[in-house]
Amino acid sequence: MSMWGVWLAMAAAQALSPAQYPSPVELAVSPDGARLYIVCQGTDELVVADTRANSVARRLKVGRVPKGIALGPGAARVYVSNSWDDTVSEIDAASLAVLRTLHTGFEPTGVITDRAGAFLYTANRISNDISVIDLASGKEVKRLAAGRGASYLTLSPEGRRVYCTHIYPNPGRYRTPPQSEITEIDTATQRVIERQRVVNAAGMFHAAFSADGRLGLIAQIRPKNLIPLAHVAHGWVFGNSLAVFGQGIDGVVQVPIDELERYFAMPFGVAVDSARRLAYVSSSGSDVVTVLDLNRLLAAIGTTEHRALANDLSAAARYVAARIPVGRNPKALALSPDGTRLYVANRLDDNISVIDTSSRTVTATIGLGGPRELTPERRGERLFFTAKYGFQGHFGCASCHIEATIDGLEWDLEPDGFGIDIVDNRSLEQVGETAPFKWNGGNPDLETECGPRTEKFFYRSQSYSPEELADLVRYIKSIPLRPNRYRLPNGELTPAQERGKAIFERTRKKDGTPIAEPLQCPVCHSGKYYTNRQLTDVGSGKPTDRSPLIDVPHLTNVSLTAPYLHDGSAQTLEEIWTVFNPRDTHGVTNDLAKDGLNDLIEYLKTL
Amino acid sequence: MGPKTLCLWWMMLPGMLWDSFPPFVYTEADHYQQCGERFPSHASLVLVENGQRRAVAPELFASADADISFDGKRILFAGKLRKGGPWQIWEIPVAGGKARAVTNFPEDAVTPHYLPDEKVVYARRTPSGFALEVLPLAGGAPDRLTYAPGDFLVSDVLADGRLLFEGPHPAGGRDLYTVYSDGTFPEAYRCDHGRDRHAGRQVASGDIVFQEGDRLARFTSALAQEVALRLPAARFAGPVAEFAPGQWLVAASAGSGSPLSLCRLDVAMQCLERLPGPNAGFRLQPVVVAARKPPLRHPSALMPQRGAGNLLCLNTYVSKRVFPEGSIGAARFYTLGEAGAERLLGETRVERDGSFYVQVPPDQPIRLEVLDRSGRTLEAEHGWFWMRKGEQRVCVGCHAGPERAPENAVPEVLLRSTKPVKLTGGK
Repeated sequence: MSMWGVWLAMAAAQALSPAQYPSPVELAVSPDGARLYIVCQGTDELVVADTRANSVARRLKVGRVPKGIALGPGAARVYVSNSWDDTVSEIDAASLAVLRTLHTGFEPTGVITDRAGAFLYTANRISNDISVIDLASGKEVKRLAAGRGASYLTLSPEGRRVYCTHIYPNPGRYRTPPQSEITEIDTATQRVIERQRVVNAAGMFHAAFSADGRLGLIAQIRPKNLIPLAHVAHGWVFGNSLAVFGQGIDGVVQVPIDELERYFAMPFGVAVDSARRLAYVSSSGSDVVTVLDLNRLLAAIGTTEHRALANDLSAAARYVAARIPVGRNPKALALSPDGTRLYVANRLDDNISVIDTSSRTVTATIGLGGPRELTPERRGERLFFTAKYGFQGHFGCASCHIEATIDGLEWDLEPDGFGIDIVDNRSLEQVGETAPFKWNGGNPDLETECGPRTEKFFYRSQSYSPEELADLVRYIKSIPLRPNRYRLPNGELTPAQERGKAIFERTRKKDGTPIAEPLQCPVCHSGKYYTNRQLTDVGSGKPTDRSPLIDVPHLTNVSLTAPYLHDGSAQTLEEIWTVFNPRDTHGVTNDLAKDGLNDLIEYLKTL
Repeated sequence: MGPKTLCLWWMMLPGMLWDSFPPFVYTEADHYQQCGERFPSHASLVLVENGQRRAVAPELFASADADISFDGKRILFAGKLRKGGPWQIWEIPVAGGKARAVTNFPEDAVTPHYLPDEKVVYARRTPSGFALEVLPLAGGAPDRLTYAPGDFLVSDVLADGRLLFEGPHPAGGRDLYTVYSDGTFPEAYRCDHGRDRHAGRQVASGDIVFQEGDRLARFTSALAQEVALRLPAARFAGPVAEFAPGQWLVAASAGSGSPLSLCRLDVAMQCLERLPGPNAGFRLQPVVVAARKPPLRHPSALMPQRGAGNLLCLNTYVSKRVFPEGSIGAARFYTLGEAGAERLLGETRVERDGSFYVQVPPDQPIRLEVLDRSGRTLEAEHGWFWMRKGEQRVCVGCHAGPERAPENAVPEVLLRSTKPVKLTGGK
């Protein structure tokens, strides 16, 4: 047996801990097509598959929760972003040894190098910026401001531009159409040269270019959060679509991939063939890869008014060439260099579908190991990320709770009436112990919140069995808490955080006047999760709210969950006090100057 | 040689080929007409299994309109106990036995279908025509679903839980519509409006196959218009029964004067083969006897305590009719009085963005007109719709078509007020 064979056997024998599922999310193919690199965020691994044997060849531990991959020039180096470590692992492709660990902004997701391999870029999801790392020194030399939720990076084919897409919309004026951003960076100067605003796009995911660089495609969702969610049919809640831009196209055109009665939810991965003939899009909530005929797509764009096209559920018939069923929760796509195979990372099946692009069928599956038994949490995770329970497969939990977080939007849910009780989408981190639920505290437990309420007023269709609901709740309660980046490693607080803590806990105003107990922050924001789980009137109610009583929200990672207040009317933490607390009903803050509020925010960031 | 020339059109199917068929039930009638009393003389359901035929409910004078329970063990049908009596809804085990009356109305009740949760939907005759009702199989008070004038007959229960039904089209003939099982959100399945669509049934692909005139056509999810089916020349009568993908049982005849026979239709091969049977009489309404996946249950969000129905139109300008920007000033609503005369419910202002928000009386016919800024009618909808008690409905536009998804914008009318304009006719 060769050394390679010995290593294979050892890799196969390597036992994974019981609840560790590989959960592949990102892919890259070596230039010779022999290797498929697979980023497994569940097991913190880079897995290398032999594409001739369609089997796993090697596994390599990287940092925590890896979420991005890039191949350096000539594919001699592999870069994997470790989102929970705020690092990138630089790996020697030949030996698969980690050469360096590069430091980035918070939660690096997408990663790319320029053509020369001089600079490496990471999209940092929660610091909303892009790290530029000089690969010679291994140091971050620039931090470019991006949009909110910067996540995916794509290098234009000629190498002159890096495009960054964002999973959240940028903060905007209350109850106005969300806008996501495409941040364009000049690789020669490492400077942002353009910020394209994409109106009514909230989550934008992978991008891909045609080989000639003349056409760009981005998987995206168009939420319908400003209209009452009174039903689901006719694309009422989301438009699962593509953003199309490039030569001959005026701006960014949004084109649906849905049909009238079938939806292809949560589009994520995109690939374009080298001949610019076909594009592929994964719908991670519908377990499908859609094949698009690009000539027909461009003809549709050229002959249809763009706003009408974006909302036309019959448009996809003009350019969709095929729908290919794949595994659960398909994420990234990667084409082999010769274009004959398309690889699909099925995150919740722990495998890779290999699609023959000529027959448009799955011809092989590469298993990535992992426990054979599904835990209740894993079953629940599958339920959370599928769209099959929404009416006609329109959307699922993860359409709003993107990657089990938020969507940065406020919604007009129907049970209360139209235009009434607008609600902010709340974070799910540590939400399990914060009953009751809903902003009006109307649901006593997650079973009610996710069961009958979701079925009747969200999905508008028969949804979970009691067993499934139990699994779903188990998953929601197990959603991992991402590391807080603002706490010092030794557990101490910075001086600003200390000052903010003192403000948070104070019982007297700056002039020494006592603060009434109900207006002291820790009275409502108390306990482990900083909520007393009570209904309180903090004066943030609007004329369109039925009741001024608001369920006190928990504050876990609160700095990441904008917008704020029950209806999402405060774009920032500061606005809570400077705009929406004129009479000191939401704590006493009007005696604080800007620096005091800054300190308070610095402390809240640590919660 | 193309596949069509291989077809054994109008050849008798050899008896040995029965083995390739699952059991099925069909209606055998002396006479059949598409409108009015469909079976003016005798009709009876026949179960065919392995080429053997058996009357399903011989104790009844007439039986038709079969549907099979989701476990494949029971047959729901319309039956007349005796000549001259009303059609009622009956149920009988597939294995045989005594038929059980599900309804006992003085009026006709026809076209029954099983619903999830042991309920049934059927059409019951009212003074204004047949209306759809839902009833628990165990009995109880029926819930009427449709409130517009004309005959509404159940065609199928779709996999997504909506009811597919046929009803009058304002321009004449019939068309296919859907409604949820609580009577909310009635709408045309498509807005291309064919000649005379009826007898629709959903096949495994999700497509709806229906009869239009003497032909079959289909709706498919990707398209806003019907798709013609390329089939051998014949007169077809729906519904079809799919016994394998692309393999249908269907009633057909060689010409308009000939009685209908049951045929096997291979859709891809465009091959139609007549099944053995007597040459006289009509054989139609096939349905396969097999267990099947129940349609999804519709979780009703009706809040009857709210009383009336609230209707929000996002943008009246989104319409198949082109209205110049700023041309629409108001929307006027009518209902039908007890004597069948139109009665004005009132008018509401239409905002600059085309939105309006009204409250209308529940469970009665509603019709609307769009008016210009001087109060003249720009467009009058000729069809009637209805809203249920406590229904909250939102429309993209005015006759926009099901392919139009809404634009994401707060409707101006909701910025003005979140209270609907009451157009309840003084009630």
